[in-house]
Amino acid sequence: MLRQPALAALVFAAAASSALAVDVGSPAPAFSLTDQNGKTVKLSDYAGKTVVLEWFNDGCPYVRKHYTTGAMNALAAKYAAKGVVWLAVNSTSSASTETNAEVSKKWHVDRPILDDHAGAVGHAYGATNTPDLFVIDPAGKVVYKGAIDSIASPDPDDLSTATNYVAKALDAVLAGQTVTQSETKPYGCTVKYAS
Amino acid sequence: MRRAFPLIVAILCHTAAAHADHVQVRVTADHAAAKPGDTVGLALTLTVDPHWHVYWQNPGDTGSPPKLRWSKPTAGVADFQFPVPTRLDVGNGLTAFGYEKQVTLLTRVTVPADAHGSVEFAGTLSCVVCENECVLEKHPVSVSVAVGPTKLADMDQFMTWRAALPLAAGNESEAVFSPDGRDGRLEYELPAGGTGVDFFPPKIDGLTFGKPETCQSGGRQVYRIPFKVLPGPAIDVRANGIVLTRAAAGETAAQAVNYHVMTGPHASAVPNP
Repeated sequence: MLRQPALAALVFAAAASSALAVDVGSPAPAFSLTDQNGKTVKLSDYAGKTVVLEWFNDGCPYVRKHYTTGAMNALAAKYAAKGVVWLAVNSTSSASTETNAEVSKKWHVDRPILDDHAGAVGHAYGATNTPDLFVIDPAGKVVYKGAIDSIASPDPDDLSTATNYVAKALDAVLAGQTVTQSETKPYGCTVKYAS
Repeated sequence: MRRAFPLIVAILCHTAAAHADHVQVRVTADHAAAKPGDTVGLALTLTVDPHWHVYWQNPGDTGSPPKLRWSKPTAGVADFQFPVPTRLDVGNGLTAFGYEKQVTLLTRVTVPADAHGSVEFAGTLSCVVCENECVLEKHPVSVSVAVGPTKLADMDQFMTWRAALPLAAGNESEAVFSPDGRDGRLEYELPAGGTGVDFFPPKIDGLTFGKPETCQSGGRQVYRIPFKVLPGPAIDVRANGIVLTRAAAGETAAQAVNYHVMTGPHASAVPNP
């Protein structure tokens, strides 16, 4: 019963891109996934907005660094106030709407956590790590992909000294400027794909 | 009360069922006694559960190297000397550089000038250890050394551990870039009859490395690892990697190599041979 939305996403993503992974400057692959409340969320719902996709796995120490400190929620909220849509995508093979609902309660995540446990959307974007971040501009182009920040560690103490690449990319997009540092190497755990 | 009880049990069960560690840590000092101001060598031996692994200074596509923060006698982050890593397939075409089963990292501490009796070196080792999942483990580290006339310890052990380190780097080499500056490579000239076995690149923000390859260049055999320059600020760094080679007679050697990588208009540009 829960397989239906995943199958729809698989077909959609497969039709949208034959090559896996997406380059900076290319159109962001379309998707349709279910959030932790069972609601269908499509990238096309946000046409004309700046969108952040954040690859997520609550079992990963590098993701926990950003959530147990409240840092990711604060960052998403700061940019939500400026009209940026921030979506977490969980491509972990063991993820489900239920587990995403549990973690969104535990970590007070008041934005969508999308169930991609079949991994089709992760593969379409070429997401390799958690966290792995993509910034999509209002024209639907990927303008940043890579690490959330400059210090590849699971240590919360490093958050305050790290340069947040996503914040810099968003500031540029919101100011109508080109993102100069448009690609960095993501860090963190590998995405635990089903296949 | 009835509803609260399962919750309390759940919390207790979660705490009680905390994961067993996947790494055991043992510290050894190369001195049983040392004088104030002397340098003492320390070895941290990490024994890793089967199927799990820990990471080299450049962890590759995932993970992080072990990090030791000292609290006593002075605060600071330890500098490790790492033995030669292995390439680990972590799935989805990704590669990590690290160690399975066991690895001994070496570091140095200084006996404080005002130390007397005995000095305790203590801190916390943060270690990312992964199998399919990754866990961040924190291990207390503590070793005491008597303060007095020098008395070495575990000399044979330390000789073995030091022999597992790559040979010290020679002169620095410049990274080589394509004319448009978008890619480049780090090169290592192989000795006559030698072959390249593996090239473990330094971790350099702004570069992604490919697979090493052997090429002929003007009559020489050159072992090199290509990289792509990611769009972003100019880079000017000096960093070490490790080159593994095999001599004509068959013995392998691990050599630390120093590179200067500088992007931007002043960088050296050489056309691809």
